[in-house]
Amino acid sequence: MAAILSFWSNSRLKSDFEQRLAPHIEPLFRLACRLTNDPLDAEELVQEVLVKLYPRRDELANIEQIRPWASRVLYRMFIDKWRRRKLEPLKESELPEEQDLDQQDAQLSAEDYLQLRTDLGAVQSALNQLSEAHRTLILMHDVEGYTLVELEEILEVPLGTLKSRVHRARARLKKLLLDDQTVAEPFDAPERVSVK
Amino acid sequence: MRCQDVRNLLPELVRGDLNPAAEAMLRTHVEDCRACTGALAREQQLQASLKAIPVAVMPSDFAARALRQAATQGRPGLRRLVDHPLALAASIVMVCGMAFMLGRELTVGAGLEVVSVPLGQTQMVALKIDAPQAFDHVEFEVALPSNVVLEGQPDLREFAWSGQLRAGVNVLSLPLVGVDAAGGQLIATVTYGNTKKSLRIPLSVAVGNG
Repeated sequence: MAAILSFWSNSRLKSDFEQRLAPHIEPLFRLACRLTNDPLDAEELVQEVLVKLYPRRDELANIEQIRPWASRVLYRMFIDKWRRRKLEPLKESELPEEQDLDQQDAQLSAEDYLQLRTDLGAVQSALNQLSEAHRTLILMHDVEGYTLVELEEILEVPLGTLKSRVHRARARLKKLLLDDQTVAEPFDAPERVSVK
Repeated sequence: MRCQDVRNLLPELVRGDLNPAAEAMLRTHVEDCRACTGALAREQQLQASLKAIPVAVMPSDFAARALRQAATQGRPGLRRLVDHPLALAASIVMVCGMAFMLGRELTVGAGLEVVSVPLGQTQMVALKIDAPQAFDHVEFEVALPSNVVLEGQPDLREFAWSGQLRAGVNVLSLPLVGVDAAGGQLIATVTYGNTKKSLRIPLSVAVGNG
């Protein structure tokens, strides 16, 4: 019997699906890397997103801004399914720390600003100490460059709330970057930022 | 404008997120305020470091590979077959075939008989296409009769995609489930350039293993 060849494994994609999504695979991969912190996991996550999107080709054809739309799918998949499957602990994502961070904490004095450590190692270390919700905001907005309007769609959070959360996330980050202060994020180990 | 208000807006200033009027106001203040000038420099350094946080480089073949796999796995009923085509070969009913040759009429394999699909059960039905050479950019279309559905895709009555034919025997395997004890015809169409060939496969649905 002749070797069984499958059309499906040979087949090429419908051009529209490929053409519309291909330019956004790399940004999706980057976002997935940021969320999972592992390139292999990121590949797996992006792959699952594409599998989920493929049957929605008709809907895709009518989407003007594909990147936030696909990013939203990726983020929801990360939160709802993928992360749970990986058995990672589900940290509080509703930002109770917002109540803990009072107005005074959210503001830096001029002196504080000048004492901020801004080298890459310190920034990475501080970022890793943020709560997951705050870290995600910083990674998506300040690192990957998603606009607040895009994040409103991706995270399904009102714009006003987002602005407040971003402000507080940045304030947390800066507190962690101050040499002489230790600010532990709620639910995280109260570790001092390492100063190299 | 108070220094504290200015410092609160420095991230937006560095990102370029402020409207022109607000940006002008901040820049005017910063130019005249030594403390805020230093704070702005720190903010610029901080955001530069954030942008510089390394991320893994996507493998060069990942996009094409992932998109291709999405197209394959996006058809749940076919995933098993694609993953293990040879392992499942024994369960495939090779019902008919056609020779796909440019400029010639469709040649239907001998003994094109009625294919029986059991009611409520999955039957792999294979369409064999013999291509004398490899063809790229071939269009495939399949239309299902009302008495069967594609496993896992009950609403998918017609589907089309573009693909390739390899030289030699190519097999399109469809996991069909009988849903109505009636007769019907599956229509498969292969198009390459101006050459278009269709094959009508009579399908019947029978109770049990038909």
